[in-house]
Amino acid sequence: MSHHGHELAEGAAAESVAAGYELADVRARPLWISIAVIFALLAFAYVVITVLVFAVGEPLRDPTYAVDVTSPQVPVGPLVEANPNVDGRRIVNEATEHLESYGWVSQRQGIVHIPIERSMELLLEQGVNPFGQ
Amino acid sequence: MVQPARKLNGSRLVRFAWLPLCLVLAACHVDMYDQPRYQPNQVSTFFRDGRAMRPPVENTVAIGSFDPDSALLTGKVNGELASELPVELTAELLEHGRTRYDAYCAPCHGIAGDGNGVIAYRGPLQVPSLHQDRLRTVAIGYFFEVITNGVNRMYSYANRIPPEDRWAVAAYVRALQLSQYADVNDLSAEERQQLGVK
Amino acid sequence: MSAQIFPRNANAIVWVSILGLVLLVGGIVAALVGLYLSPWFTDVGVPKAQPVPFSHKHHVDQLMIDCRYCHATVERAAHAGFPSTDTCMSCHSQVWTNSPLLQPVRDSYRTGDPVVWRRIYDLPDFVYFNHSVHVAKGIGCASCHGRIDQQQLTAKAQPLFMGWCLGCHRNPEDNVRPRDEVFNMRFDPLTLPLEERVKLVESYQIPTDGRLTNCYTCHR
Repeated sequence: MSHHGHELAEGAAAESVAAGYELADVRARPLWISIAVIFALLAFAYVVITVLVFAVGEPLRDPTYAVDVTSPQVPVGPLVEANPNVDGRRIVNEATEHLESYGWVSQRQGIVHIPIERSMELLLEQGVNPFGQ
Repeated sequence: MVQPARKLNGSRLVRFAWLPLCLVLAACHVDMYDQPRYQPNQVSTFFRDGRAMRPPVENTVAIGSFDPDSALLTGKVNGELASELPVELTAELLEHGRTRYDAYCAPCHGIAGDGNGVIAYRGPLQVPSLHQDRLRTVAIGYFFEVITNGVNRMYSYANRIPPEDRWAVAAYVRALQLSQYADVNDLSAEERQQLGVK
Repeated sequence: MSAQIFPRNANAIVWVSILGLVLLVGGIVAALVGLYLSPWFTDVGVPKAQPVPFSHKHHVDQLMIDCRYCHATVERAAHAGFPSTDTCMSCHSQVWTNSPLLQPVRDSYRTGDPVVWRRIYDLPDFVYFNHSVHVAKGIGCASCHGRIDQQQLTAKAQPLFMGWCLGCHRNPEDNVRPRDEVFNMRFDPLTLPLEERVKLVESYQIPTDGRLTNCYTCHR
């Protein structure tokens, strides 16, 4: 900005001095320094926030996770089902377990239930009509 | 100061180099973003029913999607339910059928086919078990038929499960039935030992 | 000899105004960038009003219905497939048959007029996207749609910026998962060690020679 100031070799006119006008040119250095300081502070703030986020160990949360997954909030009763997830998981887990295990259906008739993987092997041997028509 | 002669020289031209930037303003519109064509499921103001996706005229079929003599597409041989698979029975077919069954059937019929799926439990709905004598001995085309046309309160799944996949499901259902009703004599020696058979 | 025409505080005014100008320009740029990234512009996490307040949380998480039960063409077509009224009614002809919330669905089933849902994910028309290839190559639903099984009302999980697409196209091993786990919303691919994910990329034949970042891959 200094080239906009008028460098007057002969100095300020007497009437300017008398009228109290500014005599010195604008100084650019403090201006640049303060801009640099502001940006340095911004960078510093960014670093501090990043460090804090890492230190706390909890990342900034995705706004799509509106619901706390770990502890679902349950409204006050009466409730039809306190935690609807439990029954669903129980049913699926029981069925999956059953489908992966051996056991008797009827010991007298010699009927067993077997894991589905084994059953698929057997079906490949016996064809699609293992019980006849 | 002496004014230089007004001449359109190179350096003077450079001052107007920013002018082409104005063209950027002309790019501020969205007709590439929203091109004048329909996307799937889009609303249309052109058609009376508001659908951009046109449903086929009733009672029409796409070429190759129907053949009254094909067991693969109808589940029937000479008007009778097919008793054999029209596709080859392979491990891949069963594995594929398993993924289909777990996605489309298991909500009601249950992962083990006992009619105790999560939806059946929550409904609550009465869902018949697949492990009953009638269904064990029925022709395999019956499962194809039920998936295609539905039965009782079960809707048709034909628009969600293509014919080849329906056969995969039918084959997997047989594997499920076998897994719950296997003859102990078909098992290997170690398996019998595990069950405690001498 | 020329007279000074600037008052004594001129330097201070210049000083403050230049500083102010810098801050203003910086602030405007920062505000524009902030707006561009904010849900106000991207709609991330902002549910839209729908004719029926459908909850993925209820249907996917609590009832454990597979994604494909409704989005049936996701493995076969570019479009994941939006469930028809028939699909809704295959259960809701039996359960919640009198719920006023489901009136639009029943009306649609009776009259044949579609339920007009509002689109959540709207890619620009100059982008080609195919669901089936992503599913076939072991990219899970949750990789793009987030934990949609935890959303009571459906909202975008991603702003769909091009840089985000490219991030995965450059490093597919960060998001690849076994094909069995594609529809499992709870599975996190990063629980697998990197070597296993790299092996998956190889066995699913995901190109790593730069073809995936070709302009023509998506802008065709």
